[in-house]
Amino acid sequence: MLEIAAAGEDELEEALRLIHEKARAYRGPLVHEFAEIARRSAPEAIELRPDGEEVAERRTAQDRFSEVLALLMAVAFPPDRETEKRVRRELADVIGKPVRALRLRDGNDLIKVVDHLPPRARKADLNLQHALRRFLPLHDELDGQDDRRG
Amino acid sequence: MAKTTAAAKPTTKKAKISKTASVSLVEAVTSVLDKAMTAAAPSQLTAMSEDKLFEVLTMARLLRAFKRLNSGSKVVHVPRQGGKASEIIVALNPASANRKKFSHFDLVDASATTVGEAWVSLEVQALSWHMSGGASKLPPAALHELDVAIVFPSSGLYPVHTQVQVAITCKNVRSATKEQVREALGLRRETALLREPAWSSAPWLVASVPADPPSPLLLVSSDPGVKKYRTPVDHLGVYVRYLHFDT
Repeated sequence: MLEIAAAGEDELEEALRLIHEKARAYRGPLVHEFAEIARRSAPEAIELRPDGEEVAERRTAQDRFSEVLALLMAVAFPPDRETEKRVRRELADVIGKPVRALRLRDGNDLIKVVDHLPPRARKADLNLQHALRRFLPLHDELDGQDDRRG
Repeated sequence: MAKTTAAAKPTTKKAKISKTASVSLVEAVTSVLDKAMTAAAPSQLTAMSEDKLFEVLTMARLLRAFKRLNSGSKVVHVPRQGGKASEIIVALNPASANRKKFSHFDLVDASATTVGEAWVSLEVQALSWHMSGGASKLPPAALHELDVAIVFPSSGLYPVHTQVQVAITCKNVRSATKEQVREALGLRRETALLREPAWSSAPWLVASVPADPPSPLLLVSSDPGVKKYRTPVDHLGVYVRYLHFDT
């Protein structure tokens, strides 16, 4: 198991700075993704109205970090065979029956989704993902009757 | 000969001790960065599989919400004709509601009446096609794909916009953009007219919708950054939602 020591505003800002530096220096096949990571982890620009007031309310380091981390995790740990299994399990829970395979039909061809996803992550990576989950936005926004949300 | 009772054997293996290692946030982030910076770009087929998985996850969450908010209801998987009940087959590309080829899901209420059908990658007839009279053969722009759709039961191969109960466009993206919101607005325009808010065709999902027919149209994105686009498009019946794609 892996546990992340208490992280306050300073640690979050330090992590954002690190991500920003590394993302700016990145040269590789995921250049668009890292450009976006760099953009999101950049210090917030303060825009002022003519009267000197700030245009938008500044976001907390926690909010910014959460959004950057979501993107970084999506790049580092893309959906894998375990994700496919979890989706099948969710569907099985809904219909009350087992779902053993998920296939895509392309013309007359049937493609098994799991065959085209990477293998399950290693234990060390799973521990890392698990430890960072508390920083991620995990709220389910498809839980229904939520049109009152702003 | 009498059997001897097996005595507790002294074990040579070390007892397993559950250890929890503590690291700083910066150390953890460094590990994720190392992993991300060595990641390869996914192949086209992998990317398509990921996108489709996100659509199926969106549908599963939608169906779960239906069940949870409609007491006594159930969801039934209807496999393609002759298909296995435990095997779900959905369209890779935009497709019709072809029961011979694809799975769909019946939404059944407490009185055992099927009140809707959920499909993945379903093409529906556009409002503009309906307004034009729709006399000739369907041109390509007369059909629009809904990544996830709930339509009225037995709506035909290509449901018309009035048969749509819920329309969803899914974006499994690293970065949500305003262009995606504009695309959703275009889909909104082609599925309903703007009206005063009315009781929704899926009140369990969104109570009232300013559209005729009052079908909610959702833009579901895997990027939490999409939340900044929630308003004011909700006043046009487009509901922007974030769905964490758990990896």
